Amino acid sequence: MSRLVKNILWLNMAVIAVLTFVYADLMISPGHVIAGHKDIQGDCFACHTLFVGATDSKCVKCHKVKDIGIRTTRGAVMLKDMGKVPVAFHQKLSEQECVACHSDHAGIAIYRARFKFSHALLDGETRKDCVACHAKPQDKIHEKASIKCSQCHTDEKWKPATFKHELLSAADLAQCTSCHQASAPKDKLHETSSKKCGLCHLTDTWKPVDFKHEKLPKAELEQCASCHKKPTDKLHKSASEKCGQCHVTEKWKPATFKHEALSRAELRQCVNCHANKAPSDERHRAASKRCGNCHYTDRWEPTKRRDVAPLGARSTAPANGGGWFGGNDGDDD
Amino acid sequence: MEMKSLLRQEVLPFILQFTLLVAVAIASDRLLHAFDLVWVGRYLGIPGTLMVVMSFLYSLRKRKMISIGSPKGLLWLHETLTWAGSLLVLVHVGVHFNAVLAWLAMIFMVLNVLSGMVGQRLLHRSRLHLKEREERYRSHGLNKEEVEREVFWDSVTYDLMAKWRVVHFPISFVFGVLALGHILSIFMFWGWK
Repeated sequence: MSRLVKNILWLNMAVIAVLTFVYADLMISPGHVIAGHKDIQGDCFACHTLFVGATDSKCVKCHKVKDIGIRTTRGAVMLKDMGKVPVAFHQKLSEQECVACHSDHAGIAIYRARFKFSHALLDGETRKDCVACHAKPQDKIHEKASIKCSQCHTDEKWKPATFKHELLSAADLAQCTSCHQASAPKDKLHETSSKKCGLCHLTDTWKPVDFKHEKLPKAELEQCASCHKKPTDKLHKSASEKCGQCHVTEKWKPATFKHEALSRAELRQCVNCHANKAPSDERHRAASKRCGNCHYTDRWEPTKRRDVAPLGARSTAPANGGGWFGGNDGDDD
Repeated sequence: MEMKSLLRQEVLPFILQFTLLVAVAIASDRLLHAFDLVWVGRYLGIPGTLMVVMSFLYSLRKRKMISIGSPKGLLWLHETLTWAGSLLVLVHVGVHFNAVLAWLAMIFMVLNVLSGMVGQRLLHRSRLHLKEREERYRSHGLNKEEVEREVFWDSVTYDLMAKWRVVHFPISFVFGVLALGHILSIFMFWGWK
């Protein structure tokens, strides 16, 4: 290597050495320090001790442990801002090592994932006292919640929360909508249902639904149409809203209709329901619409008329010539 | 024909070797981030530096400051350790733009690797030129091992190599000084626990 090259090399090295000492924060600092330490940006030894690193003893010279979270380093009382709560947990840390959690230089922050804050650093009592550090949310769901966050949350992250209904009192447990208002379905089925979700739903999952009519209060049990849509066919048109008169709660069919349940006026309107079944033979064409004049309510045949042969059998017209049903149009009941 | 041969035997291997270094460094860095192991990369600078330091055994052997080891084997070790050591240092750097001194050291390390790879190619060409000498040594009655050793020394002291060394040495020197500065600053300010 020529003498000239050597000299240039040494000169460059000397310049770099000088720059390193004059602009230490630029030349050797792993990124800018936090805003609060801006004033001591260039003074490495304000925090560092030669060959030892940043020591806790230097931190606590300014950050008095008893004041951390309560007062600033200048002695001013810390105020609540930006939704943050002044936290005074440093006094009760199981290990007093500042750099275990804090990093001053921006370039070091990237490695913090490994050394982030852990609740395990807190002593047992402080760890249980969640609200000492965390503000309880003011929303409806937390309104009635206890201050023991750990009943639902882990100390790693807020979500997902694992809420247990068993922890609620009986009175609170009955107030489903105080928490589930937002998630309550808006469909017709739920629109008219009671606020007692537990009548159909379990506490751990919404589905499958465990609905039983027996769980409904008697008054609601009679309000079939509040949940079920009434069929629009002729058979149901004149039927009352009380489905239970014909149907059971387990299934729609088979339906067990009882004429006795009908009112006297309804009972006379046979064709409202039986129009399709009315025979079109000569003797029925001439008959009135009151089937009950000849028929019983539980069967069509045999009829009340002993003088009339069953349909299909050879029969003779009455001698009075008044037709099969004559002029009798009165009630038989 | 000559041009094609140069491209295939010298230029392409050179580009591949350097591209591989950069690609493996980036892939390793991505992997460390993906597995939340960035802190591991922070410490890879130490083994990387130790590997580069170990590679200087060849330089000592070439300058006859030590006499152990086969020069050819040590050269292979020099090439391998500097490549692998540089790889670890590149992962350690992790493209985190902070201290200028560390960055200067990294830039000169990459320049040094590039320069070393150029030297590797030149040495390869020197050996081809010196092929006929091999025959001559053989005709003088030297055995296979002696012939190999003589050709090796001839190739590394070939004129072309001497000219290359004029460039490679200053780059290595600057890299060494900057890396030392960076390491010293870490020793001075880092909390070794």
